[in-house]
Amino acid sequence: MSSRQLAMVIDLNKCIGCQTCTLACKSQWTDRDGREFMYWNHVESKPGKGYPRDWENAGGGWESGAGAAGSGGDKLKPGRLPRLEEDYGIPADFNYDAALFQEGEQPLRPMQPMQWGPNWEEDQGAGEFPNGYFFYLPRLCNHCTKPACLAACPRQAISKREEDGIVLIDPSRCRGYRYCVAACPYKKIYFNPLAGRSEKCIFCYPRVEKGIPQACAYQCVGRARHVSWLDDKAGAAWRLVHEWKVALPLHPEHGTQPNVYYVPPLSTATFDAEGKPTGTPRIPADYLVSLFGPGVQAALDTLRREIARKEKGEASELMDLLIAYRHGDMFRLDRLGSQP
Amino acid sequence: MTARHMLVLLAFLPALAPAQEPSTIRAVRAATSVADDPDHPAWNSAPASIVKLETAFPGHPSISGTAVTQNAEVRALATAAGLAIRLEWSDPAADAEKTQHRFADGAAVQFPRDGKAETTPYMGGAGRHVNIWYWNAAKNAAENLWADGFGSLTRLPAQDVRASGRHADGRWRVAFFRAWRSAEPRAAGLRGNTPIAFAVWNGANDERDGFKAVTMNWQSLQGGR
Ligand code: SF4
Ligand code: SF4
Repeated sequence: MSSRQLAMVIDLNKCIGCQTCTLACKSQWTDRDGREFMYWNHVESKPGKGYPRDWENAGGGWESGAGAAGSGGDKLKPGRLPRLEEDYGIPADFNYDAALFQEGEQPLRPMQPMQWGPNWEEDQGAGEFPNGYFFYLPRLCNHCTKPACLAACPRQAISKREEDGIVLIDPSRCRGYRYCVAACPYKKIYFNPLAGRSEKCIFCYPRVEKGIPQACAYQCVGRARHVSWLDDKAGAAWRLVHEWKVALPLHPEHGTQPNVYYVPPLSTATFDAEGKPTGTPRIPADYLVSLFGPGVQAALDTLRREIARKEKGEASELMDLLIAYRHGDMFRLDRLGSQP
Repeated sequence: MTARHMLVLLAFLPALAPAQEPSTIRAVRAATSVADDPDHPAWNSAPASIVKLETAFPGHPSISGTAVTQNAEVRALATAAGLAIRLEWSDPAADAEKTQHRFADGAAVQFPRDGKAETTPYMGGAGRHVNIWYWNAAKNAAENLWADGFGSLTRLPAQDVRASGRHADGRWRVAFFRAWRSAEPRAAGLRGNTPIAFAVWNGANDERDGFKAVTMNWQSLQGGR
């Protein structure tokens, strides 16, 4: 545990799946030197197998055991290493020249056959017409309070920074053994075969140290991402996580105590055989519980109640916070916890 | 060593017991320059010693499994320029590629820096460090390393060890070479008789780091300079 923790809240009701965050991250950190296949930030469509493929069944995290709920035990669960072609997807080149600059109607296509990719199942989702559903789930390293990756490394190459809780791999200590890759239940550590080392999201620490938000958060077109200190009571993270309890960690059952939180997605009602709305949300409640834990129902109830208020023209602090009228209000990074 | 490492060690001590007679590896003088050529005909003049390999103590909860390789054939040649050591062991498949989910084969030779058998052969200990020559099939080159306990393995500034390997007929042959004198103060002296230990990693079995087949005791290298 660090003395302070920087946290991110992603509002899944505002994420439009545009992947601006993904590219902001990629062009900043992972477009070269053996990292081409990696997406430290990516956005997957849910339900789906995600990226890397089937990461939710690839093991890792803490055995549930003694300790408070969600705090996990002290034994790591085994995990497996994702494969390049089948689970991450090769960083294929596209036929830009043929498709964009040559005569004729050539569709834009990867030039090598691909088996998977960072958003392979885009907009696929689940359910039958007219009750199909999907939503976007942006994912990055959660800079966990109890990081399984850190515990798994025999060389103490992974550390959690005291001043902001950012989890980093020391490239000079890492020898590419990949116990961390297997141990992370979110599969958010990647092995760089060219460098022979494991690499991961650095929460844009060089930006954070200057008080600038992470590239994924700052560039977010949907104004879906808030960043603040988890103990700053005026910050969005504290207010959404602790005060309003509408922001929840992903797969808390792994016991790593993630510090990226999600406002769960609301959905419109399903239609019955006569085409009449049933009143039951089309994203099944038990599916959301499987992702975000038992707090989902209360969070969705709060959101619906506050939306109804706003619709009636009444004041809602929660809605004002989530709407984020001013972009700058979404980020409070300076060490005292006030606005940049 | 942390308390947890100590516990891990203690748990494995009974398995330590096989008071295996250490092998003697006699370095034979060779006129030609052998360097790190694993197929040089001069190797035929050196007697082969068979060393028994066993799964190393894990040293960390992440490390588990049974290493595959059970023995290796070791030869040594003393040339005018330096010392050459060749390891040969059976491995049906060459794992020479490091991909996202696969590990490469490897081999290592370890010396106590002070030339004394009192230094622990399990990665050395505080104040008594070991010098390790590590070969990895993905790079087919050597790394010159030192360690003074589990988790402490570090690259030395002077990378003056050479190694190259060849896989044929279901066997790896890997030759290491270093000049008698090294500019590296933490490197092994290679003078006279010295304790020596070996390790082999089978990549297909996910062996890497402390998951490896090792000689449980120091062996003896005779005929260094
Ligand atoms: S999300 Fe994974 S890589 Fe990131 S801190 Fe948690 S366990 Fe480690
Ligand atoms: S930039 Fe924002 S809206 Fe676009 S995909 Fe990323 S999180 Fe969603």
